[in-house]
Amino acid sequence: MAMRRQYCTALLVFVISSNVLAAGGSISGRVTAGGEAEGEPLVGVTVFLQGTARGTTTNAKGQFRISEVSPGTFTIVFSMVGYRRETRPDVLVEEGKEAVLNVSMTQAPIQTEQVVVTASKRQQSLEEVPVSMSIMEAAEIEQRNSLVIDDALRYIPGVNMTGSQVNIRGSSGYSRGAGSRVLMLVDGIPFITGDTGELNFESIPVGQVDRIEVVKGASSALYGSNALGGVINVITKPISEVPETIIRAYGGFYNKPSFDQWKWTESTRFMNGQSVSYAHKVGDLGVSLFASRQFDDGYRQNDFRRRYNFYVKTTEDFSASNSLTLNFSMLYQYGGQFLYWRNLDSALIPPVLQKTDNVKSMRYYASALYNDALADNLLFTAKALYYHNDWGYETINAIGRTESLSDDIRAEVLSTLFLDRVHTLTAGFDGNVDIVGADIFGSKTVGGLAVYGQDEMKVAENLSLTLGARFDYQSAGLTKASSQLNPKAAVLYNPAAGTTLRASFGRGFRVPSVAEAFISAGVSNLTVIPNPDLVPENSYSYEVGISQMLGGFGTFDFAAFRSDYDNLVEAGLIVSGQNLQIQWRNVTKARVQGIETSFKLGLFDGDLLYSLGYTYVYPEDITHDDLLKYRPRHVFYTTARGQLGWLSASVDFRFISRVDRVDVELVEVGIVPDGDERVDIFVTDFRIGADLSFFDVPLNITLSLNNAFQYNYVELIGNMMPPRTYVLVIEAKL
Amino acid sequence: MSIRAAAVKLAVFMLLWSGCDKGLEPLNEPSGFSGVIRFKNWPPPDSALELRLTAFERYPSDTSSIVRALFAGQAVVYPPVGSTGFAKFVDSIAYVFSDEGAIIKVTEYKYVALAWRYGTNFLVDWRPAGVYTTTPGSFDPAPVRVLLHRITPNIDIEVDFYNLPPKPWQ
Repeated sequence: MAMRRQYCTALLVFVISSNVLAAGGSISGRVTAGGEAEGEPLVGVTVFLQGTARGTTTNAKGQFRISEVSPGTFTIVFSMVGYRRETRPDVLVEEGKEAVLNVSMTQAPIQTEQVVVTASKRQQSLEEVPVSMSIMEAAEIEQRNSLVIDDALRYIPGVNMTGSQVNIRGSSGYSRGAGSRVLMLVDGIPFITGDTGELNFESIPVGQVDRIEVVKGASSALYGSNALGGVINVITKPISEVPETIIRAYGGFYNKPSFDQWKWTESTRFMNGQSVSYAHKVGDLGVSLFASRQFDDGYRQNDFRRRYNFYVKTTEDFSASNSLTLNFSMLYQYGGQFLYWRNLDSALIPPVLQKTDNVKSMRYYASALYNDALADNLLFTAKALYYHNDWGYETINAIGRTESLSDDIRAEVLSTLFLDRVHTLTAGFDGNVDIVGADIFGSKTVGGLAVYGQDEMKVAENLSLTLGARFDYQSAGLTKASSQLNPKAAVLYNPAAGTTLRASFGRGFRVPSVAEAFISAGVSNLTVIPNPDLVPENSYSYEVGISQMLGGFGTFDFAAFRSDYDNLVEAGLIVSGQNLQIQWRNVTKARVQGIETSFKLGLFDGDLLYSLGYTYVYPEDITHDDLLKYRPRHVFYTTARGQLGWLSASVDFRFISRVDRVDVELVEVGIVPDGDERVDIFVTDFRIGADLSFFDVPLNITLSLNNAFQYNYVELIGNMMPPRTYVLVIEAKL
Repeated sequence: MSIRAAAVKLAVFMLLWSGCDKGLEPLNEPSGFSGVIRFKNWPPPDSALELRLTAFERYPSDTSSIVRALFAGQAVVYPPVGSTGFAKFVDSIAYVFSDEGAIIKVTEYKYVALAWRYGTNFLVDWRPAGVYTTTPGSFDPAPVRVLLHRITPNIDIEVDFYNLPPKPWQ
């Protein structure tokens, strides 16, 4: 026993190394803007000690202080969106003394050195990430007046939406709300519904999003189930030290349909919404409150929506090295349910029997995030999330409402150890339990446990290697008990300043959702039958890429990728006499390969920004010697934005090629008449904005013209997308 | 040509292209069936109150199944309920039962019949006056398949008020 205790003590000493937090010294200073706004304090600049777990952000006066730093020499990194990253090497910290650093940051037309947290479950520079990654900042989301996160995702290279389901580089088709091959995280915690395993974007208030990070390619080696195609991490806003009240309102309407046949009402279809938020951090305690209401008449019959969000976030900094963040979000939503059109001649009205279908949901989640820098080189994090979903629908055929209740409970602990200048180790374990009680899925309790580890090795000044693996075990509650070992490997090489070469390999898997395995429902002669024999899907992803900075005014990125999938679950139609049955089955072996390129350009100190992204995928269904359903082969986005003083104007354009295959079975049996009618997608959005803060009026006004050319298209069979839409947004920051 | 110039040209080209094309358009091709209804031996005016064509996805076995089928959309009516029925005391009527002026589904209808209201009770005074059959001289119902964007022709019905088909329901 004594021997074991000695061993544990020795191990602990080794892990924490010699840098245990003690009185030590401190680093403080002030960060200000350079250039035109010279001398103005910069708020919210991330300041961290490279290669350690220590860091902070600047306060309302641009000041920062990192205390209890062990004596030594450090490299300090200053980073903020819209500014060039600043690095101060060889900063000496001595016992009982304070090192003072005053830094001036200049604006960057193109952000190339963002700090991200998703690729390795820790804070790191984007240029250190050995996989393809895209970031969408809050400003971009706000400019587009994206009401739900999936609206914003439509403009990220390599990402496209089919209805409300997200597809990263051809990983996902359309699974009718059951399961997702992309994992969504909120502040790093998996956020999928317990019953259907889907991503519910509406639950996260867009107004509280700081940025969205998208990792492309299989990421189960860190994140487990669902991360076959990639990971979307929604980072919520930090709480400002300056009291901040934001009142935002929008109103708009849909243009009349393009053709008389599609007119189903004489009334103009309006939308409107209001939100108010307040955030303030006083001393160690910060609170942020947000409430919003969104009403949409819908451009299609029985497609109206009423949505209410409430969100609260609190943070408490117990000391310089540890903090606790709590989040709570609630969504109530009620609306009509438009599944598919009556036919193309009546594209904006549903089949007769669906004219009164409606869906109502109440969803809420609570999460906790505890960070503790146990030593300068050791960060400990504990996370937990409780996510409750209650949704139900009512159809003309059903007696009463069909309900589904689910609770998803997750917890994770992890540590990042900056062992020395070579190794950064990350290790953790997590577990989850889903408790489902639903009319159509039955009562089920399922869960899983996992352990993972990763070593990021800086084997030379310009060469990094990452190796990692994760072991997952899923309970027998769902299908058969199963285990998964998902490895990953990546290499990053900088042959010259501004040039990065990367190569990576990863394995992904997805456990079928309760809905796919146990659904039992029926309407008329169409029934959906369960398949408790489903087994997890899995994939192997490979990628090589190059990233090049173009002077100080642009970036270029190119990647070639390939993913091999096995046991893909698809909904199949079984025709049995007059009866039609749908069942999810492991049917497909598939391969998706392609290329992706993106280009960003910033001119005139960022007053003129231009970006484009192009992705080509070749999605082979090897089992059926065909192409996979709902995967467009070409996805192209481009955005231009110009600013002249208080005025700004921007244009977004996206092209998505006509998908090669859809659920033609549903068309052939007449469930979705004209469902095979689809076209290439060309959508153009225009916006003009006025920032009245130039005149000391705290108002921002934006007028958007979405789908400006009124292009008629579908993403999902039988679902016409919105016509031209006019939206006026007014935002006051007090 | 620099990458920048190529990208700008591509964007402008796409923009113009998207402005010219409107995407999906209506097909303007209705779905349904058509035919002629021929009449013989009309009853007196006080018992020839209303005539409508009905199509059932399943053979109606009793009154309640008819009501259920109507509410569930598994039975459809032309001219639609609420509008004026077919003309009476004529030798024949040419009709087009399509989704342009009525509700009809792309499916197979097992029983297509002309419904006749002979009394003042709107709910119960109905019976079939003629049924679509492919066996001349019989009342054996024949199915009618409605195809998408096609009007299936020749769904003709013979009505002899002296020789009515059996009531399929109790």
